[in-house]
Amino acid sequence: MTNTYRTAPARPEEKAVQLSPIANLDTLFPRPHPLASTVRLLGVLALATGPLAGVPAILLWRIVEREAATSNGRITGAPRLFVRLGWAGTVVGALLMLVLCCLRLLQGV
Amino acid sequence: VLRAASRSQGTLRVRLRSGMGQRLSRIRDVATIYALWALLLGSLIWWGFLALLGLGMAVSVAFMTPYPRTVLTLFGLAAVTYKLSQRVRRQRREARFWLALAAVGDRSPDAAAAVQALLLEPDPTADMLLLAAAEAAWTGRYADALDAVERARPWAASLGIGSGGLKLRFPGLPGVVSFDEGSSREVALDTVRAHLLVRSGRAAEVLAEQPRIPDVPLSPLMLVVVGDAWMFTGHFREAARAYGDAAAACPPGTPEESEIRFRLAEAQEKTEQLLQEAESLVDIGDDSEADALAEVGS
Repeated sequence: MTNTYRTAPARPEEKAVQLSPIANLDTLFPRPHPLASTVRLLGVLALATGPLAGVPAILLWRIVEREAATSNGRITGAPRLFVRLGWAGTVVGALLMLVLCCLRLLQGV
Repeated sequence: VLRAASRSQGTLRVRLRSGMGQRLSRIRDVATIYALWALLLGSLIWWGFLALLGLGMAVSVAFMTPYPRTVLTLFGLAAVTYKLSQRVRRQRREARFWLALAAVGDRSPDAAAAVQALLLEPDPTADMLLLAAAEAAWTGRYADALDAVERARPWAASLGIGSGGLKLRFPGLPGVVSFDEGSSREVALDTVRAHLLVRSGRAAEVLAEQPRIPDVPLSPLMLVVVGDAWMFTGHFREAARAYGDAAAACPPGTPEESEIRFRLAEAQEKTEQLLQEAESLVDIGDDSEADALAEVGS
């Protein structure tokens, strides 16, 4: 039996300790937060439905941002544009409802 | 509802007075019964038919009320809210997995808590269990890691699909275990399981399981695990043979190969040591002890 021991390099045990358990970590990340697509959808819908979609869009955006902040840049948040759409839809929708209610009340009087 | 029902009954009575209306209503009744029957039978094959049946009944009930539009809008809103909440729940669960994966990958101190939260899910996915196994193995909790791998075994074929291909490292395993499209996930999981068994001090179980698949050539990593199992049980010659096969099957010049060659050298050195001890015992004259040592070593 030939001994290959003398030609074998030293064991890289210390180096292995520093390795990441996930070998393809850099190919898996960074990635968008899974909820970002829902925030996008609700943000756009808020323009048509007002607070019905706008409020969930704003709340979900806050969750996305909070979780993205804790991920050390591995997970990216949702685009700010869509939460702004959510806010716009909510504010405009709420104002419209307020105006309609006032008009109804005035008509009733 | 009662008012609407009596109104519709009145309409029906008017229609039933004419012969044509009677025939039409009979056809409609028969068609309704057949449709209901078909939907019920169909629901045995696909539950969606049952949902259609429920939806149809809900719409019918809505039209029987004095405010069908309001009721239908409420139904619609409830359905949309339900679908949205389902979607959000699924995506939050997905997010928890990715956050835990990032934490484990970065070897963050929060990794254990994140993985523990994943395991508390009502039905953790195979990828979540695999991640839990990796985290437990890297913190030296081999029994927990083994438990997670055992739980993931029934879904071995779907491992890595949800995450787009996982490539994991386990402490003491010279190489990466791939759970992606190009590799056999069952073989990869078996390798991880065998490795964890060896690390948990149950190397004999790995060796006992090996003869069950004698015709299937083992992967280099599995050969290393088998070699480790032989080493742990004190059979250095067999260990050296397994390491030798693994080194031959490994692409030359890679870090994996050098690690395997190191283990091979270790096994060979142990074998040589035993042979030398046997020789010295023979010189002394203790033949029985020398035979036993030589049997292990050569």
